[in-house]
Amino acid sequence: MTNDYDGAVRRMLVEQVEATRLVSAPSRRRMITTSILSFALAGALAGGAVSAFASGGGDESGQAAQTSFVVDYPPADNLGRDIVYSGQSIAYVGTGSDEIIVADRPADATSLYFVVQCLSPGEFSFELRGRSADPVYGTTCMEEYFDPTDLSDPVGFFLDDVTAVQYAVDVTTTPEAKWRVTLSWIRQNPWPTNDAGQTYGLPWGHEVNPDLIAVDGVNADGGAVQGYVRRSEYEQGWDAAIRPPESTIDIPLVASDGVTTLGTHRVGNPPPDGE
Amino acid sequence: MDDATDAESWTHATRGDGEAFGLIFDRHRDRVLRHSLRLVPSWHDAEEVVALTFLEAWRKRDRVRFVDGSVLPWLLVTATNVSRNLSRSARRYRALLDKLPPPLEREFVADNHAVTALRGLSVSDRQVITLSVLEGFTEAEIAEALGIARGTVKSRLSRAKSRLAETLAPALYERTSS
Repeated sequence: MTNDYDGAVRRMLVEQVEATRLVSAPSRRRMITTSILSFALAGALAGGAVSAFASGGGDESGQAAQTSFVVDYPPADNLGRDIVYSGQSIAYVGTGSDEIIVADRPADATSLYFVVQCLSPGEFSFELRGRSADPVYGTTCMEEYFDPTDLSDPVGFFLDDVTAVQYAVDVTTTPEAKWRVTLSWIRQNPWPTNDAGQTYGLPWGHEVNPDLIAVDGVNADGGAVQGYVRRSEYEQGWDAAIRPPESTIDIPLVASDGVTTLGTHRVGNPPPDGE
Repeated sequence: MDDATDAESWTHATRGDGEAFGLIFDRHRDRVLRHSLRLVPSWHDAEEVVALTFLEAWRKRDRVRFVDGSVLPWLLVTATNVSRNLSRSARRYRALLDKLPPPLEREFVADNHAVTALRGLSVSDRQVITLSVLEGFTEAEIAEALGIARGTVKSRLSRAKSRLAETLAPALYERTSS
């Protein structure tokens, strides 16, 4: 560390990480919901995202219950993931500690998208786990983070290993603390398919390409345009262009139908500027 | 632990090992600061970009991309995004930032023409230029860090270089003729 500021930043980061340490589950840690938010409150807090109510309210046995409702699919800040929602997105809103049983996984779902949000100041722990397993994801919402004017950007997680038979979320907090958990089963759909059966979209990982690869290009007027190049032309173009003497090759830029020409995309190494 | 890759340290951190995250901070803090000094006008702001970058990294910990086991490219991309609107980025963490001591104010001499030209680029162009020209990552590594096709990196890089050249040409002329 070069000065007090660096050291303080480092300590702050370490504290942040340790604050989210997963809590080992005690035997009957879970206490039952102490109160249920009204639908009206839920709708207001959801910022208009609620599209339909599916269920809600506690049961008479005093067992765990949540106010739950169907919501619009939450926007996934997914850094290039091309996902398709599989079934409904269900939001659970509650107060105090509780357990949420995740709906059964649809046959085609490959991942679970798990979004948590604190609706009041307080210390929360959200733990996602296979019902008989240790938590796989957990996060803590500290009081000092809470910003009542900014409820629009909750924290989301993707769980990609969904081999457990059933999942649950443990919410642990103080009796008066309010929270919201949104759960969506999703299917990783790397690429959609056009009428000709060609896949198109962004590459997956490194050099794993669909039939039509999304790229930037130029149209006939020299303007910027986004489209797709055929994988074979792209790969052959690069092979040819990088062979000495290095050059550039313009390959056709097409729409997602694989046919409609939009312009060209240049592959190869351009000459140094000014030449 | 010192020999662990970022990805391995990250795994430890996500299990609550704060020191593992501290190790990642130690490893990349200087590179992120150096990068940030190109993006914001003062040392003070650059220090804040560094803190925000690592806080954002932790907040988005399940979505971080590693390139050959390193998180550095992702951190540099995040620093670029954070610096776009520093005050907005800081709002989320204001309570935490306010607890930090004030960063040292240091003199630093930037190539004003180059920095101005860099800041004049779009964010997507700035990302590829900084990762490629200034940080030395390969196009394949940049493609992986940004989640875009290698060809897109190529075309953005070419476009960004042209724009930088256009912006810098008058300054270079001034220097050579003075």
